[in-house]
Amino acid sequence: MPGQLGHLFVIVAFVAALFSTFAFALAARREALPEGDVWKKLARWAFVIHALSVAGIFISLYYIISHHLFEYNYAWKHSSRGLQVKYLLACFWEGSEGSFLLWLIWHAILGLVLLRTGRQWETRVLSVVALVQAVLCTMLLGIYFGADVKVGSTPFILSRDMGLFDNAPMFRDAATGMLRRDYMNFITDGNGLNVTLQNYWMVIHPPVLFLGFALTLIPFAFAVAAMWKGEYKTWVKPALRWALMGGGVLGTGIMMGGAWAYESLNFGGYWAWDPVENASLVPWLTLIAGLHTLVIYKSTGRSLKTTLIFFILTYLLIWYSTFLTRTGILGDTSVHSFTGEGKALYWHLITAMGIYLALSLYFLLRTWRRMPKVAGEEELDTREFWMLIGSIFLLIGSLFVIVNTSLPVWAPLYKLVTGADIAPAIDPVSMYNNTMVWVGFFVALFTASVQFLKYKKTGMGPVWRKLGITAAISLALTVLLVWGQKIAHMQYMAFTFSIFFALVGNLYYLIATQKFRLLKAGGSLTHIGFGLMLLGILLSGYKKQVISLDRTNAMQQWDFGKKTFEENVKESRENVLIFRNTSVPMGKYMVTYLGDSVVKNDPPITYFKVRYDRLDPESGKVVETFYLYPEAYVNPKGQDGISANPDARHYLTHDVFTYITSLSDPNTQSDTSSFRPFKVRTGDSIFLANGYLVFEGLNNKVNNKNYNPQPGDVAVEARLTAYGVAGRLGASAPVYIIRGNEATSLEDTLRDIGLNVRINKILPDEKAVEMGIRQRAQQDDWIVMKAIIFPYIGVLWIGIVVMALGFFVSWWARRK
Amino acid sequence: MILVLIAAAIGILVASFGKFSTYETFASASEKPGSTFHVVGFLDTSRAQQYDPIKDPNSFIFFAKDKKGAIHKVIFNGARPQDFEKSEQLVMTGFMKDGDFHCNKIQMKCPSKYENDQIAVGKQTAANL
Repeated sequence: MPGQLGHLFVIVAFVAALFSTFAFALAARREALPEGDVWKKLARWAFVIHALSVAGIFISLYYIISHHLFEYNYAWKHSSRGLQVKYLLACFWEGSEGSFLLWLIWHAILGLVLLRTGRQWETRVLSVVALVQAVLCTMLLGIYFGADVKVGSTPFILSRDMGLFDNAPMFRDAATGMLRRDYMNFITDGNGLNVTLQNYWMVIHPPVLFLGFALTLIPFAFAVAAMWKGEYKTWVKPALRWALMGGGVLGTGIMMGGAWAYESLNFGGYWAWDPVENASLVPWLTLIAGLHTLVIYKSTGRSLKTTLIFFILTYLLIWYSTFLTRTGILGDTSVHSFTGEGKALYWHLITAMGIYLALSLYFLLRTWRRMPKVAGEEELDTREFWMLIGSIFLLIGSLFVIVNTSLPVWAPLYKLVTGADIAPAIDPVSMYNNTMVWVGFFVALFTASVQFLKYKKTGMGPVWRKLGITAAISLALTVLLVWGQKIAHMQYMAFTFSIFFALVGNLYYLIATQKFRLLKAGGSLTHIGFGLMLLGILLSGYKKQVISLDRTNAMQQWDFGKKTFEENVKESRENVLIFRNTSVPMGKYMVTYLGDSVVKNDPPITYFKVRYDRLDPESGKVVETFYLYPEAYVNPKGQDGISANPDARHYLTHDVFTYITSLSDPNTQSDTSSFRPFKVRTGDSIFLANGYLVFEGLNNKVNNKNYNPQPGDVAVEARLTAYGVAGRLGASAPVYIIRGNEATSLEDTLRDIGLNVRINKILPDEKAVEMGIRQRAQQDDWIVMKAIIFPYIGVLWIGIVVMALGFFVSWWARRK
Repeated sequence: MILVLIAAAIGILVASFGKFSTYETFASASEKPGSTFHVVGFLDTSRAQQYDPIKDPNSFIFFAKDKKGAIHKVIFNGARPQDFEKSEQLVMTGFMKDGDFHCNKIQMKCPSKYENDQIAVGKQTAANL
């Protein structure tokens, strides 16, 4: 039922959006006429109905997920009963359909805002918005034309209608071969959210990112509307504000993804030039370029065409990034692979991009010659000239990234022409770094220097003086940093200089020219944030250090062609094995593995306790101790192996970052796995390998959390305390239960010392208890871990916050 | 001036082309020992895999079949990847040496990485009926 309702909402949303598109377009054509007003009213109503239907789709799907209606494939595939409430939203957008829906929601909200604020631009801008909404709705339609052509895929489909059970006899009625009426009894729980996605970032990152995506639609819609109307003045202000908002939100969304990758996804950092990351970065770069050329146009009347093209390009790239990441075309090159929909989605997205491209080209070609332009070339000493050059550098950077990222798209063509089966570079990270560092270099220089220039004509005298001061200070700082951080590569020295130049120059401008009028200084603030971000990237990336180096096995390994032993070691041996209660030196720390403990969530998660002791290099004394608790899902959902989440210790100057890469299998122990019996009375001790246990007696009150009382139970709990050489190690409370005719024993574990304790039987005649004790041998309990130090990562996060703040200030300052 | 810059941009893009690697087979990779390539292959499940972290946590040895059907020993210097057995396809980055493929990066193509498509209902039925 909720599914049929949901599907109905999809259809209504689609029809209403389509109608709204045409009604707004007609209203735009008959602007001054009375019938234009009628069309406008109709179009508005249609859009409101559309927005309500989108809300309806959301509510239906949320109802299905939160009520665990697993007959719906979407709920079964992406959620489970044990899922915490906050992740119910996350499983919403785990799937392709849900994320399209998220996108629709943001567009609908932004569209409603534009209904109120659009004024003379309302009809044309909303016509574009409604068109995009109609296209997005088709993604959720799930309608077949003939047997092979499928348009969209609905999240409201039942598993039984997908043919999932056709080959599963257990769901079939043996007599008739039809689906059993009670087949849902077999499906009591869903697959749940993938464990690697059970993270709070999964709750907040996609909505912010999709809001960023959605915001890029509006500058695009304004660009189209301006060409359509043939009026190139009043669109500038709203478009600029929306672009600023988009730049801030999309930038934040992208870097939230980086923060997530850094914090949990074991990519070994926040940015890996992964195709999915690249695909969202590129439209951000072109949006920023368009933002700057729009400012040029606003102040000088130049660069109108460039701006329009940038905004169109940005929006096409947003869809192209969806195309790259959703259709599985990236195949082998990405660690993110959202496949599944395959061919149908492939052509669907190409059609969508074709529609936007055709629309843009139609208006561009129609109005190209009639667009206002300023005669003559820009002068060299003007702000507009260098701002344009800066934007072109951003464009070059984005072209470089997107062409390389798209390699799997154009490689078949390349093979056809040249016969070579090309693959991405062996070391993509350094390939991207080595080019993008120069793009960053020039852009950073421009962010500072261009602000000192004026529009149209600048007297160069005072500018040279200011630039000279900035350069001198930056050079001094660069020398200090290069020397202090031992930066050895030429390109990174230059990069360091450009970063300081950006920081110093913008601060100088903020203080000397803008006199701290913060509302005016959104640009400078954003640039400072950008500079800090680059500085954070430089410091953390260049000096990232893996400290978990396995030296014991290094000698027998092969040569990696590096010059020194150290480098060879680094190349190959970043995983270190630690037995429980033993220590391994890592960097300036002694690292000790202390044991694990399992939290019985769904699915259960295991925490590993790792102690870091920082030793004074001279005296050898421990000067600092902290604990890290990297976690892992061990064999989750029948998968083989572990899915690990790291833990990190944050300092002002660096982060120490640890995660588990492998561990001993608790099931295939070679140890003395049987429980040895001990008969004890209150006060007796049991001796262990590394300490002893004191039996403190039985207790009728059971506190053990794993015990579920049932009526009629007779239960007692034994109290034991473990002591080691250093004193008390912990307490244990195994439980003995008589339920009906059966006696069961609930064992308790003391993970730190690898101890399992249970009550074998109670001997009332002797006033004694027989305990069963099993202690795991230490050599069977180990982890393999990796530890990395990221210096000054905090600078990066601060930079991002400042940058986002800068966008917001600019947006706020332009509200009138 | 702007044209010059655009020309420079195209220059950069073209220059970056040279850095691409190529997909090879074990046979074509062994023709150039020492150079690093991508080899696309499949895990040979009929032969044993070796990963003993107690001995060496950074060595994982298995056999892979390339697209031409040739089977070679692959030595990976790292921990055994999760769900290795379920991989449909492997992209290994490394070089040939003495008939073995030494690699430092493996990318697995799994049936579906982010979505668990396997029907995991089978086991629960008995308990619930």
